[in-house]
Amino acid sequence: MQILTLLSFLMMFVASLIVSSRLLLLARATRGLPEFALGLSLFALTGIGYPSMIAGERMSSVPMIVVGMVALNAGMLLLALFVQRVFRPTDLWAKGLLGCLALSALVQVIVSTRSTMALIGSEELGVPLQAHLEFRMLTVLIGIVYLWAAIESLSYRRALLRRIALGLGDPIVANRLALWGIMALVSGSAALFNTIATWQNPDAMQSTSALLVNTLGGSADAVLLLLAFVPPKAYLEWVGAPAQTEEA
Amino acid sequence: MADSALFNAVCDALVGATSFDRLEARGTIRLALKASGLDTATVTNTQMRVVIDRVLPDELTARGIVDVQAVSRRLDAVVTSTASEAIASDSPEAIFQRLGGEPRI
Repeated sequence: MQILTLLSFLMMFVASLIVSSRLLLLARATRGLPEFALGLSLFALTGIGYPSMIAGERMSSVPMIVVGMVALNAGMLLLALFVQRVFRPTDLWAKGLLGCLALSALVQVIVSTRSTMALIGSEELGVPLQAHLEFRMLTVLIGIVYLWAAIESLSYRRALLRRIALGLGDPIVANRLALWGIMALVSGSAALFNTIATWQNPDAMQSTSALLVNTLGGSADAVLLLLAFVPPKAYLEWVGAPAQTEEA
Repeated sequence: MADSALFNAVCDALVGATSFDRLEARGTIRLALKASGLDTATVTNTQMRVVIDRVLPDELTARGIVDVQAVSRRLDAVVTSTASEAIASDSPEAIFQRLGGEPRI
């Protein structure tokens, strides 16, 4: 099971790198903030954050853990920025939430860096990261931001489906919103599941149920991410087919 | 977000074409837009025209308006005479369309 979990993690890692580099190239051409924020967020979270944290924990490397913490906080904040700018650009509450998350990320980085640096030479360095309050708080925040992304995407898709029924929307865009929304829902739920599972027992991540959740979640996320942002032509033709048939 | 000029113009026209007061007219158009997955701030002329032709007639009939076709024609004329606004490039729909596009280097 551990090999399957590792494989699903690698799938997610590769998918995130492909999608983030594509979005960052797109941002270079369009100068659009949403594509820049989402591309960098995926890169920070899955390209740097989680791998650094896992490697840092295994190798008891404080610098890697610190780099991971900073990347995860930055990724969480960029993801929240993407959601706010795309779905709630003028809502005061969303701007306030983004401000709170920025403050929280800053505090997280300062506190976690100081507490991790204090572990140098200590036996506590071998303790799983999930046992540390700062890491738990961070995964809760990541989970909440992903769930916010899921709620906004899936709600907007519902409105878009009503437009499509009147011939006023693009089914491919509706499908992309669904894929991204489900991917965010899976990621957010997995982050919260892991936090709850390890709250009492920091070693719970090695249990069969936790490995199963993370294996299935990681694999599903990788496929959803690729279909949403690097869709094969055949997939786009299949998704767009009903609209084309109606037009004909 | 503030209501668009187009929404306000159509609501005013509905007040003039029916026995509705301002509140009823705005509520009726707002419900028709909501049923179509649109909102009062970002609706475009093309979208409004489709709503007037395909969604609003049922709303008007349900509220006791008899000559629905005549009312729709008046509202269509108002849409035509109101300055056209393009779909905002920063709408979620436009952004998600862009996110799946080919990056040009």
